[in-house]
This record gives sequence, structure tokens and C-alpha cells, in this order.
Amino acid sequence: MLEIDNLSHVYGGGTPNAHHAIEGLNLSVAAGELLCIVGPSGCGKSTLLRSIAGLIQPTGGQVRVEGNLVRQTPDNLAVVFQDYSRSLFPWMSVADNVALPLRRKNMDKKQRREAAAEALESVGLAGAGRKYPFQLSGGMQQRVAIARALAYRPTLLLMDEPFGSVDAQTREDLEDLVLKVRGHHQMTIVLITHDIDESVYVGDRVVVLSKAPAHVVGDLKVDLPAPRDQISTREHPDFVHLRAEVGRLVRGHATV
Amino acid sequence: MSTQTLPRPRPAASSRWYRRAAGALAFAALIELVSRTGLADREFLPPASEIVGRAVALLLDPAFRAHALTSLLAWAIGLCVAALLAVPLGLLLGSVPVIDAATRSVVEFLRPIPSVALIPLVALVIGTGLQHRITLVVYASLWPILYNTMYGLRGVDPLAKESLRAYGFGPLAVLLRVSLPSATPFITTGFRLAAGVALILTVSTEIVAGRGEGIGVFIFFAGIAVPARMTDILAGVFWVGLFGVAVNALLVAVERRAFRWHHARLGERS
Repeated sequence: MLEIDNLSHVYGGGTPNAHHAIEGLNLSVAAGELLCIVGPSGCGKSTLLRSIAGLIQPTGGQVRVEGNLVRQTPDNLAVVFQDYSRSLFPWMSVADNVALPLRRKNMDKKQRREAAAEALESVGLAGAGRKYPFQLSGGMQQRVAIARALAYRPTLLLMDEPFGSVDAQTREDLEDLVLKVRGHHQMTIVLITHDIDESVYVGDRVVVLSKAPAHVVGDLKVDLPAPRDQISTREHPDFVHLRAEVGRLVRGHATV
Repeated sequence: MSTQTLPRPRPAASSRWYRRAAGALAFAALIELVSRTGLADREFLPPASEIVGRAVALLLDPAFRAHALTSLLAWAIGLCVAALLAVPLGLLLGSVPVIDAATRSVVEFLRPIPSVALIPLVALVIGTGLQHRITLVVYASLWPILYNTMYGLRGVDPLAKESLRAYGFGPLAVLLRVSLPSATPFITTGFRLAAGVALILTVSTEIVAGRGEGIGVFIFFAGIAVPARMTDILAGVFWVGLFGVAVNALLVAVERRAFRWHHARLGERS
């Protein structure tokens, strides 16, 4: 599904201030997988996501999505950014925000509207379509951004610290929402986070990145009983063990 | 989860209509007093009641109405043509840095020239008809709209643009679907400033032309009459001023209503 081969990216290359964000990163994600990527703050996670989405051209290496080399944004790809208040369009109603990307698909106005309503319902916002983003709470706005991505029916969904700007309770609700929707739609999801617990709770697999320049320092399979639950999953011995393991890797004290 | 209740932005004290009306009334009372007590020569400053009375009477005068309509036409056409030119031009200059850099020296040369100084020159080239006024109104109104469009584009959130790009939209779609709507509050402010400038240019051009129709022409003839018809001059000025205030208030109201999302956002940041 997603193949990243020896990816490197340098900002301001050739200058004394050149910043090596990523160096020699290899990663492969299978179709239908929910992969969490964790790493220390400022380690180049967002650069990696932007390279996958074709929003920036990496200075070295290759990204392939469904076998195709990424030169511009791949079809059937959606991105949910951390900052919902900036990524939603404030001049549009919630329904119009969700329906806008569907103009890229071969859908008429009625189909777009129906798809938007359906997506809003699936994130628990049925009936909020006529509101404007500024009339919703932060958690609800991020649900709108997720609905916008779901309505697009992506085969690859990228999420860049999607729950970094909401309170703890809302965060848990949104984590469960992601687990719920992945069951409904056959999607490959790559979720970037700096929250170690979140990565283990949500992911099928957790990849740990090093400090910048980022490369993969750990790749762990998460084999926790389904369905996952905010209380029982988090007290499961495997969860406790995995989060400790990921924590060590993030801090650079790996025991394995 | 609850819907945030947004406090309605309270208008600043200075913008509440009754305070402003009280200010205008006090000013009128002052003129009345100064004129009636003979502090100022009545020939030069008739009492406010006479000016307003004359202004109302002028409304019933078909000749004055023709003057007013001509001015209104020049103002409206000029302003609309300016907007139709300035917004696309602003989008072009604001999004293609190469063109912006190439034209900057020309723009920086033209912009500081007071439009009023061009009135005689344009009259020589194209005469003193309606096209004279429209040309000058277009020229003067272009700048506020152009600059505000470019300014608005500079403020467009890169993440908003990236959000649409991430769904595979190209640069033109991003410009029209994200940058343009995002800059609309600024463009509208530019249009409001331009509406005021256009009014100044309409009347000045008419006064300098001194023939044909227009409120400026009416004021001009009242001024060269012997003795000068001061009440007529001031009644004309009264209508121009009232029109300017009304247009401005209307556009401010439009901005408040249409761009609630913009003001909600500014409130959030401050």
C-alpha cells in the first residue's frame, strides 16, 4: 500500500542553517493497516506526512502509494491536520466544508450533499451541517475534519497529531471514533502522534522515529484484544508492557 | 460537547447610532447659533435649519434631481469598474510574485499621484463628459481595492491552502476556493474605502469641469453666481455628505453580517 524507500529531506539545503529533518527512512505499510508513528517533538513527523501526501518534494528517496511514485498528491488520499480551526474553511457551513473535496470526484451536487450528510452522521454530527465551524467546540470541529476525510472515501488516510489540540475526554472519544470508522471503511490509516499511550491504544502497529534527522528506531506489532476499550485495554498487561517499550524507544533507551 | 455561544460583538460606543446622531444634531445647533446671533456673516454661513430646509426643497426640483442622478451614475459605474479591474489584478499580483516584482516600480510611481491632480490632464485627453468622471473615479478607486486584495491574500493561512491541496486541488482551485474567500473581508473593506474616494473624485471632477450635469456642477454654479448662493452650495454639500455616510454605514453593516466568521476568528485570536 505505502512504501517509503530511503527517504531524506533537508530544509535549506546547501546553507549553513540546513536542517536535516529525515534521513534514510524506510517504512512499508500494508493495506488496511492502522499504523501509528511516534517520535520526539520536532523529529520530522510532519515532514514525513507531507512527503507522503505529496505536499512537499523530499530531497532524497522515494514514496510509493499503491505502487505509484508520489510526485503530487495521490488520488484517494485524505489528510486530517492537528489544527482544525485552520484547516476547516470558516466561510463555509459544516456541510459545505465536508462536501468541497468531493468536487474532485465524479459526483453531482445531490450526491455530494448526501455523502457529506452521511459522513457527518458517522462522526456523530448529524444535523450540524448548517452550522458554521466557529459555532462548534474544538472536538466537534475536529470531527468535521474527520468527516470531510471520510466522505472522500480515501484508501489512505493520513492524520497529523489529530487529537493534539483537544481536551483529554474529547481525545478519548475521538480515538474511539477512529477505531470505529476504520471498521466501516476499508482504509489504510497512518496516524502521527507524540502521545505514546495513544499510539499503542489506537495502532495495529507502532513505528518509533528517532530525533531529527528522523529514521525508524523501532517497529512494534500491537496485539491487543479487540474491541479496544479505554479502561480495560489500558490496564491490559500487554498494553502496559508495550507502552513502556515504546517509551524507552522514544527516549532513546531501547532495551532490545 | 456543547455548542459554543458566541457573544454578539458589542459595537464600540462611538459607533452607536444615537450617539452619532446626537453629535450631528449638536453640530447643527452650533451652526444655527453662530449664524442666528450674527457671530458669523449669514451670507457665508446660513442657519442649519435653512440649509436643511433648502436641501429638502431641492429634492422636489427636477433639475437638481437630474444633477444628483448624473453624479450617482458616474460614482456607481466608476466604482464597479474599479472593483472589476482591481480584484482580478490583485489576485494576479498577489499570487504571482514574478508579475508583482515586474510591475512594482510602475505601481509605486502611479500610486502617490493625487488623483485630483489628474483632472485637467484627463479632461484634455477625453473631454469633460461622463467618461471624464468615470475614468478618474476608476483610477482613484482602484488603489484601495487593489491593495486590500493583495494584503488579504498575504494573510491567507498556508494550512488552509494545504488542506485543499491535500485533496488534489491545483493552484487555481486553491486561489479561487480558499485564497479569494479568505481575503473577501479585506477586499470589502477596500471597496468601502474606495466608495468614499470615488465620491470625492466624482464631485471634484464635476466642480473642475464646471459644465454638464452633476452635484459638483450645481455647487460650482451656485458658487460663481453673484451674489453666491451659499444656501444652495451647503445644501448640495449636505446631500453629498449624507450619501457618503449612508453608503459607509451600509457597507459596514454588510461586513458585520457577511463576515461573522471573520470577526469570530479575530476575537478568538486576540
